[in-house]
Order: sequence, then C-alpha cells, then structure tokens
Amino acid sequence: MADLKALADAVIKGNQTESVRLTKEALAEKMSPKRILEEGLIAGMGVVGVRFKANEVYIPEVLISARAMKMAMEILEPQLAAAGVDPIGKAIIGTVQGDLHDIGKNLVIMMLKGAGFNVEDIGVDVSPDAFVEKIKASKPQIVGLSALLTTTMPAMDKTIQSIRQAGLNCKIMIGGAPVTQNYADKIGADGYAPDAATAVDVAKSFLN
Amino acid sequence: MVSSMLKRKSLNERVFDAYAQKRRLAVPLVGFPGCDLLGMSIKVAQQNHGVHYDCIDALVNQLRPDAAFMMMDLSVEANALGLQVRFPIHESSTVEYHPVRKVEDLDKFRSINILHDSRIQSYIKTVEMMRMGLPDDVLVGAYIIGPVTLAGLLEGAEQAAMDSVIDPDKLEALCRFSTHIIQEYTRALINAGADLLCILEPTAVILGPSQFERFSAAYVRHIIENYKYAGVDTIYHICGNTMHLIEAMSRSGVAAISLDSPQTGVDMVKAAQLAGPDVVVMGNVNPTAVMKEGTPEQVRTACRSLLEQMREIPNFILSTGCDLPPGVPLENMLAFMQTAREFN
Ligand code: B1M
Repeated sequence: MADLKALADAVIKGNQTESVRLTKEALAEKMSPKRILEEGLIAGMGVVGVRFKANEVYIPEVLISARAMKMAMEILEPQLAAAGVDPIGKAIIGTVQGDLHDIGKNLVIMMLKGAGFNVEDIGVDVSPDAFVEKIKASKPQIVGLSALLTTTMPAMDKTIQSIRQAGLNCKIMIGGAPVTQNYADKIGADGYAPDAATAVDVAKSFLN
Repeated sequence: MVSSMLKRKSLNERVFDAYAQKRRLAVPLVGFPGCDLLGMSIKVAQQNHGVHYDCIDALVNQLRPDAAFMMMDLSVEANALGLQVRFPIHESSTVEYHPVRKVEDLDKFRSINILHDSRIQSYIKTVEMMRMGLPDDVLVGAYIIGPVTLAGLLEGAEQAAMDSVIDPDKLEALCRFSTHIIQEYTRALINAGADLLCILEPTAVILGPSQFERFSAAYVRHIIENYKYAGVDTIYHICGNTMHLIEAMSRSGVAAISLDSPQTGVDMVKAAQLAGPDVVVMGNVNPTAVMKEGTPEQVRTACRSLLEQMREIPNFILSTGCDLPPGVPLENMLAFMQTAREFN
C-alpha cells in the first residue's frame, strides 16, 4: 500500500526524487489521484506553509518543497484529468511588463495548483496585449498579476484597463510586495492577496 | 588636504558625537532624483561619470546630507563579468539572464579583471570626483554588491536560495568567487577615496539566519577583515523584512546596518536592541509611500515620529528604508533633511 504520509514528508523535506517515486507508486496501485493530491501533496505543502508562518523554515525550504510538489504534480495532473477530476477553476498568472521577479508568482502558482486550480504560468515581463491574447486563448475565470517594483505597478493598471477594454469577463487578482489593498481598489482589481496562502482564499472567493 | 592628514573619525564616533550635541546624522539613500534635478536620464548617469557626479553634486548642494552615495546599481559587477544586462532609459540597468548552471561555468569569468571594465571605471571615477568635489563635511559613500546577491545574479536568485539548502557547496563556490570580485572593486573604491562602503545584499533577505550567516555574513566579515586598516566604514544594507537577520548582520563586523521601512515589517527600536550599542542602525523612512507619494508634511511627520521613537538610542542615523526612486519631489527630500536638522 503506497504511503501518502511518506509522500507528504517528501514534499515537506523537498525531496523531489521521493515525491515523484511515491506518486508513481501510488498511481500504480490504483490509488485515486485526488486522494494522492490531497492526502499527500497538499497535506505536505500545508505543513510547510504553517512552518513558514512560524519562522521555522524560510523561503529556500518553501521553494524546495514547492519544486518537489511541482514534479509530482506533473505526473499527477494528466491522471487527475483522466479520472474526471475537474479543476475547481482555471487561472492564468504572469508578472507584469518591465518586471522580471518571479519567485513570489511561482509560489502563488504552486499553492493554487495545490488547491485544485488549473493554472497557466505565462511568465515574466508580460505586456498588457500579451495578457489579453492569453486570456482570449485560454478563457480563464481568474487572471493573476504580480509586480515587485513600484515602477512596474502602473503596468498593472494598464493591464487591467486593456483586459476590461477588450470586454473580457474574468476576475483579476493582484499581488507582490509593494502592492496594497488600497492600490487594488484604486485600479479596479477584483482582489488582492498579500501572500500565497491568501491568494488561494481570494481565488476561491471568486468562484462563488 | 589638512583634514585628510588628521586622524579620520569613524562613523561610530561621528554618530556618538552628534548625539552628544543633540544632533542626528541624516543620510538619505539618494541618487536617481539627482537625474531629475539636472534633466538627465538614469542611463546616461550610469554610464557617464561626469554626469553621474554632477547629479550627486546637485543633490548635495540642495540637501547637505552627512554622507552622499553614488547611484545604486546592482548590475555593475555582473555586467563587468559579461552577463546580459538591459539598460532602460529612466530606470536602473538590470541583469536579465543568469547563465551559471554549475561551478565549472565560473571558469570563463576567472581571467576577467573587472577593474578594466568601462562601467566599473566610470563608478570609480565618480567616487574620485566626489572625493575631490564634494564639501569636506560630507562623507563619500560607494556601493558594492553582496556575495549572495551577486551569486543570485550569476545563477538566478531562486536557484541560489534553493542551493543554500540542497547544494551548499555550489553556493559556497559562487559566493567565494563573488567575494573575490567584490574585493577587487572594493580596493579600487577605497583608493578612489570612499569613506563609506555600503554592501547591497537584498537577495539575502530570503535566506534563514543560519544560511545567511554561512553565505553572506561570513564573506562580509572576510572582506572587512581585509580592509580594516584602510580607514573605511562599512554598512550592510538589506531591503525587505530583515528582523530575522539583524543579529547576524550586526555580528559581521560592519559599522552600521541599514534597514527597510516599517511597512515591510522592520521595527527600528527592536532592531537597535538586537544590534547592540556598538553597531549603528540606519533607516527607515519609506522611500515610496512616504518619500515619493507623500506630501512634505507627511514626510515631516514620518521623520519626526521615527526620531522620537529612537530618542534614547545614540547609535542611530536617520535614513530612508531603501534607495529613493526617480520622481521623488525635491520638497520631500528637503522636508526630510529639515526635520532631521531641527529635531533635538
Ligand atoms: C496574482 O496574485 C498574486 C498574489 C500574491 C502575490 C503575487 C500575485 N505575487 C506575489 N505575491 C505575494 O505572494 C508571494 C508569496 O507569499 C509574495 O511574493 P514576494 O515576491 O513578495 O516574495 C517572494 C516569495 C520572495 N521575495 C522575492 O523573491 C524578492 C526578493 C528581492 C531580494 C529581489 C530579488 C530576488 C531580485 N531582484 Co529585485 N528583489 C527585490 C526583493 C527585495 C526584498 N527584500 O524583498 C526588490 C523587489 N527588487 C528591487 C529592485 C529595485 C530590483 N530588483 C531587480 C532584480 C532582481 C533579481 C533579478 C536580482 C531578483 C529576482 C529573481 C527572480 N527570479 O524573481 C531589478 C529589477 C529587475 C526587473 N526589471 O524586474 C532591480 C531594479 C535592481 C537592479 N538595479 O538590478 C527592489 C524594489 C524596490 C521597489 N519597491 O520598487 C527590491 C525591494 C529590492 C531593492 N530595494 O533593491 C507576496 O508578495
């Protein structure tokens, strides 16, 4: 019997070889992909989140755990789809034009995937037009914009305007160190999250 | 000339002398707004030492701070190693590709003497001009990149963070190489006449305390050890919430630590307690929300409230949490200086 607790531990320790091996093992034993995701990967990432908030681990450990989860997710995702487990929502996320920071964005993406969202990462330095094109192509319910520079925050404003002008109907969430709820209100974003865990709550709130 | 023959006062002595006279040293981290004053682009200033100096000189004339720094540029050392850098016109240049995958990839950089690089030379010349041209009572400050931040530019910051846990030998090799590069530049900046060397180590904020000690503070200690008789004082500047790193930063041998704004989570009073009485703490008026977006009155309120909080702490310099971005109104910078000068 595949050991989901060991899988959660592999994620906590950031051991990607183990997380991949145990995921494959569990699938080979015909364990339900949804259970592997929830009791293995998400459970592990949840522990990491709690330890991070308590200053027991720092960003390097979170990144390593996120990577171990990502590698396992790559194996699990097709199986989830095949098993008819629909993602709870679809999102695309990118860092806005002029901004190359992506560590925070990547963590947000991992947490959303962990929570059952189908997330497309559209990279860094994404222009307003490129956002619009990607939204037209992928039709997500949720669009995420990340910015780490005060100088690129106005690009969030422009991107939101372009999305609205194109008449695209999606909820927009923004985040990144210099961004505030005030700023989100000012530029007409539908939501703001100060960290990756809150980003999941905000994204879920959009679905209701 | 005469002044340089007298024994130079250390930063610490200056700070304590000022406190005894009921004054505070005021050192905003400011460079780019000098471009606004002269109508110059950041791109020109970062590549033309005459313009660079003129921008700093214009700021000093207006503000009369206790120390003036060259412009902050985290790409200059990496650029000298040949990394791909973008040069926007009105923003700082920045490294856009991080080519190192394995330790052997460093070999191709080892024969490069970064002191022969044109932009490195331009910064050294700026410091020489600051030494000669600025008033005697304004300390000349130069910036150098920190070992973890340069390692992060070489291999990517996310990779460097992960390597601190999964491949510490690799990150150590990168930090050792970075330290070697930094030392070359440090020597030249000291020879050019810098009084203060500010080590910019923003990427290290993502490390935990023990990783920080191993990959950043240990190398900073080594650099300081090598130049301890050079008559230069060092400052450790890290942006973001550094509360978990204050002790390690303070024990690295630096004269001062420079901390980011309260909005990032930094508590200056607590930081000063953690740093102890022998290390100067600098900070931490918010460079954007207060200095750029605020009114002069809001700047005064923020400065006054910080000075009030730090009233009982002698080892404090009023500064900004980070480098002031372009577009900070002159009235706000004047309000900052005026509040510092009038407070007693
Ligand atoms: C969609 O919905 C959401 C919801 C929540 C969202 C979200 C989206 N996005 C983020 N969140 C939220 O959730 C995440 C997880 O909890 C959080 O994400 P964060 O990104 O906040 O947190 C991450 C997990 C960890 N934090 C980080 O990853 C950022 C760390 C710091 C050190 C940082 C890094 C690492 C880098 N940098 Co840069 N960098 C700094 C940062 C300084 C600091 N101390 O914070 C900052 C942001 N950088 C800065 C600067 C100025 C620059 N950087 C630059 C370059 C770089 C590196 C390449 C070296 C590297 C980026 C590596 C990478 N791949 O991302 C340059 C610009 C490049 C560009 N055009 O983008 C350059 C201009 C420096 C230069 N002269 O070269 C400063 C910004 C100042 C400002 N306020 O404008 C800075 C604060 C440091 C500083 N003062 O120098 C939340 O914000």
